[in-house]
Order: sequence, then structure tokens, then C-alpha cells
Amino acid sequence: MRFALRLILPRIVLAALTLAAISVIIFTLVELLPGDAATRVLGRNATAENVEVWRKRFNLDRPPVTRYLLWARDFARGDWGVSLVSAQVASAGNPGGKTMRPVADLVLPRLKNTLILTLYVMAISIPASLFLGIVTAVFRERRFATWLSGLVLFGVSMPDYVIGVLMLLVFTVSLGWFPALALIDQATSVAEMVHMLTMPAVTLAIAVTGVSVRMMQGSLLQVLDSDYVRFATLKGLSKTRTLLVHALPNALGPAIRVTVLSLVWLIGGVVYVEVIFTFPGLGMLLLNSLKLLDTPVILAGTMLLSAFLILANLAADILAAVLNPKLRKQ
Amino acid sequence: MANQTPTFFIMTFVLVIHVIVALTGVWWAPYDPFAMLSGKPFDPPSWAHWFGTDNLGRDVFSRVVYGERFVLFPALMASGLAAVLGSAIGIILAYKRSWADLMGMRVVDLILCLPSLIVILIVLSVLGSNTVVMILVIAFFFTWIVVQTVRSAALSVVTEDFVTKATLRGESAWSVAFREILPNVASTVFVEFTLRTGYAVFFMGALSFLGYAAKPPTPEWGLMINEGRAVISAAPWMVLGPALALASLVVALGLFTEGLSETLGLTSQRQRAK
Amino acid sequence: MISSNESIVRVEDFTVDYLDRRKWINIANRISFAIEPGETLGLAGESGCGKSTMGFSLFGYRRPGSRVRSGRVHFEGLDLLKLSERELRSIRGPKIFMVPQNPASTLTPSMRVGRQVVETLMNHKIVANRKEAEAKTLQIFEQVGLPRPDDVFRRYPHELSGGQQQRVVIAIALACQPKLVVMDEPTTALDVTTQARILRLLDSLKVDYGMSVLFITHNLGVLAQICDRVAVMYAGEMAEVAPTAELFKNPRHPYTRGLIAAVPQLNRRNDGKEKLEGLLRRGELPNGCRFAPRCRYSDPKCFSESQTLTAVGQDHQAACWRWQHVKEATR
Repeated sequence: MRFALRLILPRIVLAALTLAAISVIIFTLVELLPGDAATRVLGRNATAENVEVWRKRFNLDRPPVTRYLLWARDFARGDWGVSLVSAQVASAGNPGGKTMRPVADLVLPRLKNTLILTLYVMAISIPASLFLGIVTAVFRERRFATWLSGLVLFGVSMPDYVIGVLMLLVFTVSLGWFPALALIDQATSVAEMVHMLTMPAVTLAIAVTGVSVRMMQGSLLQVLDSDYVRFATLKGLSKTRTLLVHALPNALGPAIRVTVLSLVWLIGGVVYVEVIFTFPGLGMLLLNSLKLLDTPVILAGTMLLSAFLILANLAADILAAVLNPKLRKQ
Repeated sequence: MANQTPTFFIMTFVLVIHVIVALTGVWWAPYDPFAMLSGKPFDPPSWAHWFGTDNLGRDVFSRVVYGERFVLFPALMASGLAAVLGSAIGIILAYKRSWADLMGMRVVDLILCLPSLIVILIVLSVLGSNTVVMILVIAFFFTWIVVQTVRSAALSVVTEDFVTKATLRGESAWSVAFREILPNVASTVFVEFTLRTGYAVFFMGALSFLGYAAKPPTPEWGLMINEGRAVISAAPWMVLGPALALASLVVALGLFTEGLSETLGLTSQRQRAK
Repeated sequence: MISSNESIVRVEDFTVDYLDRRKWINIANRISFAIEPGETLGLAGESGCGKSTMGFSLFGYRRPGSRVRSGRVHFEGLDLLKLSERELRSIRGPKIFMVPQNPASTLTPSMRVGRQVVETLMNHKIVANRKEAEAKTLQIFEQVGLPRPDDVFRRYPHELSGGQQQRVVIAIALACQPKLVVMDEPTTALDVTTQARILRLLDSLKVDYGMSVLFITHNLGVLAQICDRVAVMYAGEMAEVAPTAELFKNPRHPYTRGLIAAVPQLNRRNDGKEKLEGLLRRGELPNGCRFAPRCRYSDPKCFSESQTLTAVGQDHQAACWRWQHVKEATR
């Protein structure tokens, strides 16, 4: 237990500091976005007075540093502010007026969707990568393994938006097997949801698997050529045992790191796939918010993504240390 | 060169074709890519129009050919810039292992923790989404990745005797960097360059796809793919043409980089045991 | 060639090539030798002469990217080169065991060392169950001189010193109680003091268990201490075979003479007359005797005719047709 603390605590502190530093960068960038939200949102009601009230409400009249600190404090406490552009219809508590939707209400459901998609992709990708990685490494001298490797390389090189569009073309337009729109919020059953998500998931899985397989392959090949694997063979252990007990645990380290990073990439960078398949995920939300200059949403979304990135790096580091006893000392 | 697979040669050939098209395409494209109604709109591929026509009757093939330069050249510029800057910084950091090095690496780690796509989109929104800005921003992000790679390559060179000798001779840091260290990390730099080019093409296509870089009516492939998406069931060739062109370029670059790094001995040779 | 029907293992006419960057390079050429019961045969030669390869050949081990062009490895009436992997599994370990060169990289890093011994015991069904295996492991650890066996049992390889790691490997060997142990430079990776200790351990074990040993090393000093007979290899070919004392007293092959002369002696002035000159270039091997380019006694015929072992004394063979001349010249 003690060593666990020694392992995890400093890393958590570092992660928190990184997140803080990133928050500054993001805030600064978003600050620089052109356009004045006040005049835009108020539209016809943008009198000098109203604009003034608005700016006071959202702290826009304070100096940047103060604004940052206020925002950071609120953000850490879970108060992510309200969206500047999306309004709720008047409710009982606010008759006749438009109220602003809390950012959390917008972001979290989208996050949930993105996570579901990510899970699906991982469910396809992890077994596939393991299988392909092991097969191409163990059977490296056979021809089919070379072909398989080539195919993987090909899949990795293709841009995912091209793959997505091509898949759309083949499976939806031509064959009609899958729907074009992955509007999972309207799905009525789990089965329907899975059906809708299959194409975006497979598109993403192709890219993710490609990277993992190559990592796994390289790592496993190196391990298979190592002294200790050779020794295991010379000790008279069966090929299966040598592979599973002596080779794989030592080869998985780098592969796990890559998998975790893929996870993060999936959560943060798959805007194109969301666009192609009209998937209501976090990426699309950020894209739209950017177009509309809805700063609180942009801030919250980007921070969330960064937090995930940092968390994933943390998890990868810890996992690697767990798997490789040598790293635990650090 | 003898021990390269046929794939490598095919990929190099494909790349050469892309470069030729980029350089000369404007002169031999069959139709004016901006000329609307060169044919009937939504015309499927035929002898007259090899890739068919788009919604405005423009010849898709000509647009693809013309668009090559809008895809390849900005990518080369971005990756070239990143390669030059990144190597310079990477070499200097490796050579002068001072606090600047440690700081620099922390900064790089930090930058790499940002969700790159979103941040780039933000930056483009701030600075204006045109090609020049796009090149600079992408170059900025790539530079740090190149710094990491080149720095670690340079680290193993820096400990060599001839570097120490040069330092003791009183040569300035820049001189040592470029006369002694650079030639020895040149292959790493070149591989990074081709690798980054592939990513640059990918990224820029994606940015145009999302509407952030190239603007209509520029025949940029990412943009064309997005434009064609809306009518994909009616006129799939609008998407297919640029998609295949883009895919072939990115894949060729990727496989070319693979083959290159193996030739230069930078990936572990699978044939050799132990 | 000494080959009685009671040899533990007999290698005949073994030739193997390795693939290096799409070119085949000959590593061993028509090597023949035998190991007698209870004897320690030393296999000597410079780095790259193929001695490790010979060690691996005794296991029927095929390195990825290698091809065996000829040869037989006789063991217990079977030709090991003709056996399948499955059949070899029952031989590797219990019958023939390899102690490789670098103990640090020999043990699997992700597995505790105790478990690595237990695994071998269970795999070859040397014990009936896990409990017995663990008990026996601790017992062997004590035998090889590891302090606090139950503590060592739980450790990972990287937590042990080089000497301790080597002892663990030897412990695994003992667990199998093989007839033949192949030791590939077992002390090269260790410091001199540890080296001495390990050698003493090996000696006592040899006596206790009556194992035959193939001791591969380039260190003549160690050879002189430990081995009963010595076989000298050069560039993939066998140069000379003789009992240890005889070899050091009357080396007949020019290469052997060079090797011995290269060892710094405290009580003899090194007049440099017999020193080895030149370098072994793997890619430029001549058709005849491979040592000819560096041999001070060579004549044109040496370059065209390859040499085979011929008797030059009792139990003593050398692959040099000019051995008489050499004997005269260096009297």
C-alpha cells in the first residue's frame, strides 16, 4: 500500500499542476476570440445599457487575470457557468424570459454519448489489436502475416474522415445496411443504438487498431528475440507457455500506453467522424460552440478534454509501472 | 537500396506522380476547374468527364488535379518549417544540456497535453482561418514533436568524441550544431519530415473538411469531400475522386516513410535476431 | 576424432549459415566433436568464431533467420537436428541444459525468480505438486549459495546482483539435473571476485552431480582451471582438440599458439614472437584454411586446401597439415 502511494501521489500532483497550467493557456486562447458575445446574443436588444448589464453579469468588465481566477474557482467547484447562446424556453420560475442553459447540461450528455462510442470502439479495437499483433509477430516468417501487416499499415495511413466517407458510401448508400445518421439520443433500444453506432465505431476502430497493432507487433517482436524468451524455450517450455507467460507480459507495456492514448484521442479528436455520421458527441458540440463563440461551453469542453488527456497519461504511466516491476522504483 | 520491398518502389512512384501533378496540373487539366457548367451537373463519370461533374457542373477530375497543389504544397511548407525549426531547437537543447533543456521538455509535454484539434480550431478562429495561418499553426504544433525526436537522436551523438573535440577547439554552439551534429541526425530529421508531411496533409484536409481552411470555390480535397457529402447518394463520384486522391497521397507518404526509415536503419530490423 | 559409443553427445559435420540483412553468412563449417561422460570440454575461440552457435546446436535450436546445411547431433541414440519441437521439449532442460551468457537478461523480468524455478520443476514433472516444487526450490537456492532463500524466492531478477542472478540460473539447471550442461561464457558478465566464486560453485556441483559440461569461453585462464579437454575454434571451423594440459604444453595449430601467446604471463617475458596479427573478416574468408591470411607459417597450398582435423599426438588433433613444420620451427 505504501509503495502505491509513493507511485501514485507525485504523479497526481504533477497531473493537477499540468491541468492548472493548461487552464491558463486555454483561457488565454479563448479570450482572444474575436467578436463580442454581448452584442450578438442580445441582438436587437443590444442597447448600451443592456450590454453593460450583460457584461457585468458575466464579469466581462473585470481585468483578464481576475476573470481567469473567478472562472477557475467556479470551474473547479463544478460551476461551469451558462451557455451564452443556447436558451431555454421560459419556465415556471422565469416567466416571459429566456433563461440560459447551464453549460453542464449541454456538455455532460454529449460527453456521455462520446464515451459510449469510445467504449464501442475499444470493444472492437482491443481484441482485434491483440489478435493481430500477436499473430503477425508470432508467425512473422509466413507470408500471410506479411500481408496482414501490410493491410494494417494501409488502414493506419488512411485518414479517418476518408474511411468514414467511404464506409458511408459503401454500407449506407450502396448496401443500405446501416443508417446514415447516428442520432443515438433518439434510439429506442440498446440494439438500435448499437446498430446506429456501428459505422462510426468501425471507422474509428480501423485507425486506432492500426496504431495499437504496430506497437504490439514491434514490442512483441523485440521481446520474442530477447535472451529470456530464448532461455524459456531452451528450458523446454512449450511455445504457448513461453508466449503467454514470458513474452506477452513484457510486451504489453508499450502497447497499453498506446491504447490508453488512443482512448483519449477518441474522446477528443474525432470531430470529423461525428460530422460525417451526425453523431451528437462532444466534438460536434465544441465545433458548433466555436462557430457561435459560446465561450463558456468552449472553455468547459476543452478543459474536459484536456483533463481526460492528462488522466489517461496518468493511467498509462501507472499501468506501465504495475506491469514492469523495474519502473516501480521511480 | 537493394533490400527494399516492391511496395516501397510503388509508393515512391505514386508520390512522384503526386508531385508532378501538383507542379504541372494547372497546364494540362482538361477543363477549367472553376468553370461552372463545363458539363451537365451531377453527370456520372464518362469519357468526357473522367470523374464526373459536381453540383455546379464543374469537372471533378480537373478539380482534383488542380487541387493537388492546394493540398501538397501547404503541407510541405508546414512540415518543412517544423523540420527546420524542430531540428534546430532539438539539437541545441541536446547539446546544451542546461536548465533550458529541462524547461523546454516540460513545455513540450504540456503542449502535447492539449487536445490539438480543438486548440487549432480556436487558434484559427482567433487569427483567421486562411491558408497562411493554417500552415503556421500546424508548423507550430509539429515543431515540438520534431524537437522531441531530433533531441533524443542528437543526445546519442552529443556524447561522441568528435563533438567534444569541436567544443574544446572553441567552436561556437551553432557551428558545432550544424557541422558536427546535424549530419549525423540528418536521416532522423528527414524521416520526421516525411512523416510530418503525411500528417500535415491529413490535418489540413481535415481542417478544410470542417470548413476552416480552404474556402469555396477552392478545389481543395478536404473541402470537396465535405461538399460532396451532402449529395453522396446522388453523386458519389464527387466524394470518391478527392477521397481516393487524398487517401493515395497520405498512404503513399506513410508507407514511403516506413520504407525510408527501415532503409536508414531507424526501425528495428525484423530479420535479425538478438 | 575421439568418438566412442559412450559419448554423451556427438556432433558430426555440422554446418550452419545465418541470415544477415538478406545475405547468408557461414557461421559454422563441418564442425565435429564429442563430449564424454563426466568431462568438462572447453570450447575456445575469439568472439564471433561460432562457439555460441555450437552451444545452441546441441539443443536443436533454430534461430530465426538461420539454415542448417549439414550435420548430425547424436544424443541418446537420436539425432537432435531431426526432432520436432515437441520432442525436443522433453530433452531441453532435463537432459541438456543451457546456462547463457548474460544472467541479467536471461531471467524473465516480469516474473519472480522463485516462480521461474518452480515453473521448470512443474513443467518437466520433476515434482508432484506445487508445494514440493517450492520446497525443492528453496533447497536448491541454499545449495547454490544464495543467502536467505525465502527472501530471494520472492524477488524479481532486477533486484538481485549479477552473481545472484547467475546462481539462480544455475539453480534452475540443478533443478533439472541434466546429463549435459552448456555454459556460454558464464562468468564474462561478472566481476573477477564473483567469477571466482561461481567457478568454485560449478566445480563442486560437477563433482557432486557428475554432469558433463560444455564450457564456452574466450578466456584461456578459466579454461585452464576448469576443463579436462579443450576444443579451439576459428572462424567457424575446428582448429585443434586436446586434453587441457597437452594443449597448453604443446599447441600444434598456429592459431592456438597465437591465442596462448596473447595471454599475459607474469613469469614469462612476452617476446611477441607468436602474437596474433590481423583481423578476422567474416565476409572475406578464403577457400582454404581460414586462418591462412593471418598465419605466419602459411604457404600457398594453405590458401587453396581447407583443413580437417588430423592426429598430431595421443588424443590430440589439429587442423593444420603443416603441424610438423610448426613443431620444428618452435622447438
